[in-house]
Amino acid sequence: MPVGLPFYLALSAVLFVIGGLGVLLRRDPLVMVMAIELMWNAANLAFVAAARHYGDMGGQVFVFVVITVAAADVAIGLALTVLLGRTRGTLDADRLKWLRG
Amino acid sequence: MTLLLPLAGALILSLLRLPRRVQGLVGAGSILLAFLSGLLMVSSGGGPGPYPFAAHGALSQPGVEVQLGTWLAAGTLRIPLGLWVDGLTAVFVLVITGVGFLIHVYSLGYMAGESDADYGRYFASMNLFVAAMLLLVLADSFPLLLVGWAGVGFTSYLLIGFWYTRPAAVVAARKAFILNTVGDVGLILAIALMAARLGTVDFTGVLGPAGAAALAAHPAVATWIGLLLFVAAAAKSAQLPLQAWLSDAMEGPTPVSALIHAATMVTAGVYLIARTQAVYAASPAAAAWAGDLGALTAFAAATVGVFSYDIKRLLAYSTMSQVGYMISGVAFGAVAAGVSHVVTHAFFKALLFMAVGLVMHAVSDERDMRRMGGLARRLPLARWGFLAGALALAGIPPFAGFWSKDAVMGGLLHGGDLFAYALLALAALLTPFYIFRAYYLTFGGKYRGEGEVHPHASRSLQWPTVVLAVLAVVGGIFAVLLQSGWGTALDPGSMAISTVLALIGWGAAWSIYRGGDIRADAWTAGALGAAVRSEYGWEGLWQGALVRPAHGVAAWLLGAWEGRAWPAAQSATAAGAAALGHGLSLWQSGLVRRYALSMFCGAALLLLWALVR
Repeated sequence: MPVGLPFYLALSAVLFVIGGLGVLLRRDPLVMVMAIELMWNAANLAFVAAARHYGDMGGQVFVFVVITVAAADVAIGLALTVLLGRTRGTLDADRLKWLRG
Repeated sequence: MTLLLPLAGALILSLLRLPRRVQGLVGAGSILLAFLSGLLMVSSGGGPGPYPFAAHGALSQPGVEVQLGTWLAAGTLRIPLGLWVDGLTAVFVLVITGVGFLIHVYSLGYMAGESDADYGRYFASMNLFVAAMLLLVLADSFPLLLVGWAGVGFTSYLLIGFWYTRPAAVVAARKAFILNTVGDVGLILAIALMAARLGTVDFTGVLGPAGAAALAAHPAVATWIGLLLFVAAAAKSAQLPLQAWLSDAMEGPTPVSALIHAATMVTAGVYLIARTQAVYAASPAAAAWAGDLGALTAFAAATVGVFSYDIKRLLAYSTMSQVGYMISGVAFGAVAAGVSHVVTHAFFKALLFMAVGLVMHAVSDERDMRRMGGLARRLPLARWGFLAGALALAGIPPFAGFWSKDAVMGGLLHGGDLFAYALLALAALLTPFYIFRAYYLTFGGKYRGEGEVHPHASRSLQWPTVVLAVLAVVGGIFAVLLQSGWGTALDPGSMAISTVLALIGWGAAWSIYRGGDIRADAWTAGALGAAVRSEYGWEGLWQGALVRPAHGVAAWLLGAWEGRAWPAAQSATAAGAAALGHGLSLWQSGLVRRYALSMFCGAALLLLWALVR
């Protein structure tokens, strides 16, 4: 059986959901950033699979954009994590709730 | 031109800050120029020959219309914007600007005590009044007439309340304005009825042959229009049942009383009824209502005048009474007589007010005759002026009032309405009595007041009084000319009756009051006098029927609505907003993961929506 587009999309969906659950369920900001990264890459996988399937380079071009943005995202996320650890002395997202209304 | 000059004067005076002398110059000068251009208009344009005073029958000539364009066009209804000049208009224009000019000159001296700003405000209001009054008589359609009509009501409000720091003046101004508004509504309804039933609202359409035919075909419409027009006229001219404002309007400066509440504005009702003769000709019922109520006013106001102590109020009642004559005359078709009475009345009543103004100036604004007396020697000009005005008002021949008042009564005698004639004859008996009572009590006997009498009359106070005194003596000539111009003859029989009535009234006043002794007046002090002075309890009726219920509603609104319901609604709104805010603040948990969950749910919903759609 040839490995077609539906398989890639299914894998992409599984990865996306795992990443989303990671963001929602984990309380460590570092892990949450990693989970977000997983979601980015799930989307990337869907993009390249579709690009390959339809023979359109647009999807691959978009992946480069996403990778760039994801890099910036990681940089900010890690910087925030480090700063939080230093200034608040904790890395539990549920305890960082002083923006409560 | 006649119309624009006073308007320009009003604009200049109200917009620019001018020195006092210039203010006076602009105020009086614009009226003088308007008078001159009015004379020019009457003698040159207007109609055949030099009219109104020359050619026989010229006054009944059809008018000249000067179309300036269309004001409004809606469907088939077209409201023109134009001026209308005929004999009736010419008479009113000359009276308004002529007597108006004299009163403006008088005001120069009378208002000299006011501050510069008030002085300018006074003349601006007066000029605006003259402009509105001229618009009223020059308009060529009822809506345009309404503009002037409301304009004189408004400027009258401004001028009655001129001394706006006096509560009485403010209340009087408001009362005058409200009652005048009742009349405005009457006029608007009449216009609406014309538009609906006749399809036209200009003079040519309503009053011309076509309109007359339509009115004759629908007598009910003519009656309603006539009654509504009479409501308007009654409010403006202080006739029963809307008369209550005029006596209070005496709170205004005396020249204002002379110009607005004696010579011009109160005669606007006479103009309206004289103008709409076609309507009253088509509806004898409306004419009878208007004429009988006018006659009733003439009589009732004269009785109140007999009991008055306040000399300005006395003159106000006298004005109501005389305007009652005019209304009754024009309503019963004696147009020339009624209009000539407007002219002579403008002369002698303005003169009487000017004389009273001189008296008030001398006795520090005292208005109660019981604290006057003995002023004949100290104020000769006021005395002789008042005497000339009184003789003219009383209808003693050959003074001005005789010729016109008698013409009204003669007209009624021929018109066949004996009820109205009887009332007017009684009023003619009372008129000389009350005015000579005032004369003897004010100028005869000894001075009864406490304050010093210090006569001071500048030249601008003196010469208008002299001119009007001369006119009050010989002005009857205008009345006679007007009537012959309209083609009505004098009636010797009626003249004899009127003369006898006037002499009896004068004789009665002379026999009681000739000494100028206040004790002779004791009989007016009782309960009867008080009842009559309150206009037969009319004031109380208004108070009970309208004012007090209105106050009750206002108090209820203040207490129940403004005091309780409205604050409750306000605090309920505030509490609701606070509760909503508190509820929404629970959402702001500060938990990053909950925010993320919200985002996911939102995204999922959007996705679902996109799929389902």
